[in-house]
Amino acid sequence: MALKRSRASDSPWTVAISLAALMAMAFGGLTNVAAQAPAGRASAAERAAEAEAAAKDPRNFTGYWGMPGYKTPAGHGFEARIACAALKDPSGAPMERCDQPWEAKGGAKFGLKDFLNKRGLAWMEFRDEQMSEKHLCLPTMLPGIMDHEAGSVRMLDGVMLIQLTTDAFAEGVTRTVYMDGRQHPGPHEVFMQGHSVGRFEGDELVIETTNFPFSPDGLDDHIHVPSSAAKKLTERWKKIGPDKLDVTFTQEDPIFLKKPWTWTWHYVKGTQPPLTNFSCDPEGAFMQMKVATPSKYDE
Amino acid sequence: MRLRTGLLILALAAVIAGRPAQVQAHHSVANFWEQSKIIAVTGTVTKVLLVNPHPSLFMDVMEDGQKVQYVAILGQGVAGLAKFGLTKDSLPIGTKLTVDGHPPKASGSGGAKGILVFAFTFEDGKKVVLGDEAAAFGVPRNN
Repeated sequence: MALKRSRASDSPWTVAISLAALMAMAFGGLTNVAAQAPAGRASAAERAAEAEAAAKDPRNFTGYWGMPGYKTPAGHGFEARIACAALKDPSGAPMERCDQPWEAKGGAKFGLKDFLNKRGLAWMEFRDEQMSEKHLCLPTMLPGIMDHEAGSVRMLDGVMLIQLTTDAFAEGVTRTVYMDGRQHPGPHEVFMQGHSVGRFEGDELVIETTNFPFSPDGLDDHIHVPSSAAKKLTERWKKIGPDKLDVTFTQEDPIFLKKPWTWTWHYVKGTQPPLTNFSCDPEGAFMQMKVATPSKYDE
Repeated sequence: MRLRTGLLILALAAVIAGRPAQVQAHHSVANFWEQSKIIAVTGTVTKVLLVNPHPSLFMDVMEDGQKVQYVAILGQGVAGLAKFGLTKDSLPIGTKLTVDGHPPKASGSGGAKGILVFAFTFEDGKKVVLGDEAAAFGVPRNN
């Protein structure tokens, strides 16, 4: 599906700059170099016009999308401290953070505990904090990696690139969403963020991701809800205004879920992603476990 | 004077805005540390681990006549600490200091005690506060 292009290619400035460049090429030498400078300066205005057009285009998601209402009803739709209080942190106190509501409380209409099958519920009894891959510097897996930002989006021909902000939980993560009609590879190929293919249904971008490995944090990396290699994640990206984006997720996983789990996170467009300079060290990441996180499996 | 006040407000705003919300986003400080309590620990630095996401200072602390090892965990990453002038050079082994912070909700199995630090006070009286968590929580020091 072709994207709407919005370059200001017919503006008077562009025409003038193109003429200048042609004249410079004709005269050659240093004049050629000098003629490129105005084009460089003009590109900022061209980029601004392109960004404005992209913002108005419901099928163009270019830009950085973050979640200022992180883990509040504004972003997640429920109060984590209420919806997940029935779960205990390593000290035995109520959990204060979760991506997904454990119970239908605090604004949540549905609770995850009613969607997990017997195996999933048994895992929730078995799990402990130290199993979480984030304390070993592994990137958070989809969908948890999007619990505070959708990322920086670039839409190219046949592919959509989504760069996550580099921190301890998304170091070097760039999602590739293939929009060229290809299929997923066979199950023997697994990727930390899965294999994603996208298509448009009207103005909604539908991204389907499979080929995940097992993860103890595959559905929620705070309360540690796992997902299996049978996991399939469907994202429906919908712009509800030039600067607002809703992504509705549906996670299917017959190993741990008895029925699909669907929820929506709300994002707004930012001027740029947070600037970070980060390289996660496993010893530094795990130190908090050593001094502040008891495990029932300690020996 | 107004200009200086304005600059101070701007600097404070920059510090608050620059706090590592991303780091806290997934490592869930709230799930591990007792943010309603503040303690102070005085000791000698024996090891410095300036790494991300949590730099750690190992300290020997005398408690009831016994030497106890503490690990002072920093919520800020290395780049965040550098903004406050805290580098390997400013925290050499043997440094004597007091750290203020939050105790863990429960001890881990690593054998050392932990504290999530938000302020350093050096032997010469110099104090470095990493944000204003004490005021934000409105909790009096109870150590």
